[in-house]
Amino acid sequence: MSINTEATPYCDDVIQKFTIAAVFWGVVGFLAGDFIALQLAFPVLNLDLEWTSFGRLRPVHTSAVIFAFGGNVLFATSLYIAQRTCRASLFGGSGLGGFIFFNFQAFIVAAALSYVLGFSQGQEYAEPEWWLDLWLTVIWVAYLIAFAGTIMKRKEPHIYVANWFFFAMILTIAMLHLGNNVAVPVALFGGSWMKSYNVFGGVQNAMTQWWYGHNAVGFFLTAGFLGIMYYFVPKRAERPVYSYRLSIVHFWALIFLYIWAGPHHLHYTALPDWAQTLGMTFSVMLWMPSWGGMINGLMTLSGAWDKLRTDPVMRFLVSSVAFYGMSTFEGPMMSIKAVNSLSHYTDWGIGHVHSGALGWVAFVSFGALYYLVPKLWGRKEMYSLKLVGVHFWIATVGIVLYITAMWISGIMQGLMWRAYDSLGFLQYSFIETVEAMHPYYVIRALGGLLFVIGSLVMVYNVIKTIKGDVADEALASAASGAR
Amino acid sequence: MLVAFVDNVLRPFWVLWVMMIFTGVVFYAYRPKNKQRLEEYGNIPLKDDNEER
Repeated sequence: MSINTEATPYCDDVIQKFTIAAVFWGVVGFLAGDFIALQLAFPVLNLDLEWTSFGRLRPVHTSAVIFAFGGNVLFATSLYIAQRTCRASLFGGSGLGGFIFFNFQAFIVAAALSYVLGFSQGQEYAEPEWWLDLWLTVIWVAYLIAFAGTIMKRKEPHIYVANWFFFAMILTIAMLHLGNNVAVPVALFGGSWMKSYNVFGGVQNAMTQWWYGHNAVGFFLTAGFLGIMYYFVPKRAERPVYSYRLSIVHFWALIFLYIWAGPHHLHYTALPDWAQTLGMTFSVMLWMPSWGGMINGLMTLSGAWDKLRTDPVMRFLVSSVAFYGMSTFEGPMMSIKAVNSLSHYTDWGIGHVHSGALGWVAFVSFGALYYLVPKLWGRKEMYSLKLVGVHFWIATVGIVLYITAMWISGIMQGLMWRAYDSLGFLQYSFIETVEAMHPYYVIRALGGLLFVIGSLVMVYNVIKTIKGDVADEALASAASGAR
Repeated sequence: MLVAFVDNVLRPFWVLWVMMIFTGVVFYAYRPKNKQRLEEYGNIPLKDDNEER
């Protein structure tokens, strides 16, 4: 069905590149994650080499999953969605798109190499050294130009809400990146090119870091992926979002509140008490927009709930929104100071992050990728929807193992740290808590392994789809018939 | 003059200003007059030029 008589020539070769890169870096990042999970369970896997020690591989994992996987997913989806909802072709076309693509991939490789070789700014999730940061700034500005340019030449008068979320993501990430990476390179004083000092020290540095760190979660991993939700859930369900008016309120509430939540990472530290309470208060208030957005996503399916049973791609998208609801319930709860005194610095935090990262971010990405790949390569549907279902269940069991193991391990760890005996001495030594956590670390690594296997099923499915193969004709036509 | 005004009047009540803007957003979004127009925007993703290619 065509509304316009002349169709807009969308620039999709760039989207194809970003899509393949997203799948590739996803597997790399998941593998790195599972390897360091095994290192925690079996320290011998550090291999006694500096390059493969946990401290160097951990930023490789976090950067690979957040920025390489998540980043490529966001590039692919945002530029795909902006073109379609604006009915305009990509600003700058393949040239600008290719510039962003190749520079971003090269940046990822350079950053990962720098970590493995032992270079880091020591700012969590902002580890790349100063000149890598400058390079990333150029890439990001090019992205802003491509995205904003596409919006500006739109034929659709209204800017669809998904684009608002992407725009907020792009602008805020630019601000955070520049703010948290203000550093003095020692090269200016004749020193190494791979070392710099952040201009902030002490608690100012910590607060800037968590203003950055939490809003990387809030704007990169939440706002950006909500943009994905607001396009792909309605698109796959073939019905408009439950309430467009709610999406407007959702957007502004989220934007107003998220930016203040960072201090909850610094409870009971040298950060002034009022700032801690401020961070806690805004985190608790975030319950409202988070759940408003979740309801908006889920209710889009009202009247079409059968798709959850018949369409595994829809299952990915809807489950991701359910995980979003769960982890945005858990997050504000953990930001309450009394709860935080138990949960902070324990594995509970890691479990919380992964319920959001695996359940929400990765699942909504998988749903979007399974929607995108057939569209981009002109296929009717994925090679096998059955394999999409297999991926879904393997990954879901993996996530459940991961989260539950970390809940038990984390709460146990927190309780053991605060346990006193009758004479007022600490009841457990640190090493006793580590020993107690070992079985849960093994379970966590097993959950991670399942998640990796699921992603490999996706790789196979994507390759077959691009080649143009069709596996289960009957199931595919049944599902598309149901739609 | 302006700096003093911002520091002494605008800044201490920032929560109030932000709340007023937000209340305005909610009012705009849920005003019955705007309902049909805003909900119509929800159809934008569904009217894609190049669908079924």
